[in-house]
Amino acid sequence: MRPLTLEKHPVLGGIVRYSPLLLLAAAWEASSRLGLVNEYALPPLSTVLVAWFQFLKDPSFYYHAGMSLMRAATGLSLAIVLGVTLGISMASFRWVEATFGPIVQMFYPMPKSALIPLTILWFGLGHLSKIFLIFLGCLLPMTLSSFNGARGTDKVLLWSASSLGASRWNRIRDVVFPASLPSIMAGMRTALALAFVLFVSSELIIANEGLGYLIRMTGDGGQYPAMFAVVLTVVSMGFLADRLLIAITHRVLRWRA
Amino acid sequence: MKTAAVAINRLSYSYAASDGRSVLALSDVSLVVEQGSFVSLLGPSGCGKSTLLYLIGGFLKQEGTAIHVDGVPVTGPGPDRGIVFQQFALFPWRTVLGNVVYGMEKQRVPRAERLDRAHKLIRDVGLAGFEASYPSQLSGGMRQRAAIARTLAVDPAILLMDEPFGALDAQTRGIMQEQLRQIWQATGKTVIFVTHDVREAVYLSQKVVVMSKRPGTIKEIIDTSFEGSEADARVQSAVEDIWQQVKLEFADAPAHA
Repeated sequence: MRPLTLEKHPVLGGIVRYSPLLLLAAAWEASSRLGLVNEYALPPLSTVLVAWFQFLKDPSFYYHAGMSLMRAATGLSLAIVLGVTLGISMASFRWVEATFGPIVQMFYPMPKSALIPLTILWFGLGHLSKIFLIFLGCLLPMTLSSFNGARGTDKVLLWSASSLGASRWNRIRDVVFPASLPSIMAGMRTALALAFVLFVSSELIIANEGLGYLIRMTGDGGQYPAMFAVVLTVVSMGFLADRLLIAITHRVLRWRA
Repeated sequence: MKTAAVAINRLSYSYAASDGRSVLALSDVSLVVEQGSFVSLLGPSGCGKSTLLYLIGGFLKQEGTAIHVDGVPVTGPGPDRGIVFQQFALFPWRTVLGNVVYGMEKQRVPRAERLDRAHKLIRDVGLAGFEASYPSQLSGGMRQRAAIARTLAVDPAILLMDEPFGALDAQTRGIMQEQLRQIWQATGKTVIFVTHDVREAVYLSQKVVVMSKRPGTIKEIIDTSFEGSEADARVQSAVEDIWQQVKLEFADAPAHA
């Protein structure tokens, strides 16, 4: 039998791995309690947790969280579908690359939050402006990761498929797409993080609901423990979504050694 | 006189190198491969033997009608010419069974028949029990057997083999050579086999085509179909003869790029 080290234990292993977070939490609580930092700038963790439990009893909190999640999920999903389609098309058809390649390169390094005022002008204060911004921000990393993955498809796999009777469309669907999956999944992780950045920043600036809105409202109202609680909510949601994506990635790429 | 499976008439082929210059890879190659025969293409690295194989397969584009397969000029890959690569080229995201059925899916073979044939082929190549394994979980020899089964599944009249045993250890290699010989004898397929191993070429084939260094030309075609009591001795002397020929080419061949 293999010796079961502490790191490999299903429960204890997790505690050991995330123990730096416990240290951080302790440092937070201590620095504020001992007066090392101003209580307004950094309320003690315990106070923030109390505010968090208040939120958890409040139905409107779930409404705001749901709105943010819906916007992020919609924008991200659209970006994944269109980005993968565009990226693989760019790698497969020269004219698509010639048309969209320069546009993608031009807009890739641009901070998408700079477009927030413009998206509001185009799509108003509601969902659509946020969804569009998240979609736009996630589209570029999804397009580039799909393009790079597709371009790296091993030539002998394409040749094998051809000699087994695959048409051009068959080769794209059966060979290029699965060969791009490792790169697509990596791009998705980047896009997921961006979706969180963009829903918070767009809701912070102008919105009537969502967690970003809640951060602004509690902050403006001087309810700093509540504000920190909302921030912690966003952090936890991001962490869980990232873990979920990693689990999905392992499942999708289970054929890898 | 047997009919020609592959007829090559005065084929020359050049490709564009990375610096844009045109490199002549094959010069004035003429060759007839009879139906059901086993022919090896032998020569030093960079002599264009694999290029010749890819041209017969239709994977590399060439102008003109210098290559005929079954009397028809080659314009692209097709399921009449199956290929086996040195690096196996299995679809890593498909299981052994998934790889073997792929060609039959593209040929619209009914599902029940597809599975029947695939299971039989997998048994024939000695991979029974590994149907659900991914290529990454198999040894080199097992991968190459799966690749051969995948190619045989679409029942190509011609088998193109590009140094198929070059990546295997000596022992596995010997076993695979024996298996290939049996498959060839049992199916009567035409085999065109690229190798740089003189002994392998003489042992397996009826004819050995010795090629010169770049630009590749056919230096000599040697009959190596020995039968009867003196076969072993004659194989030995043919190996010696051909080895002398190849050594001359190796001697002033450019260093392997």
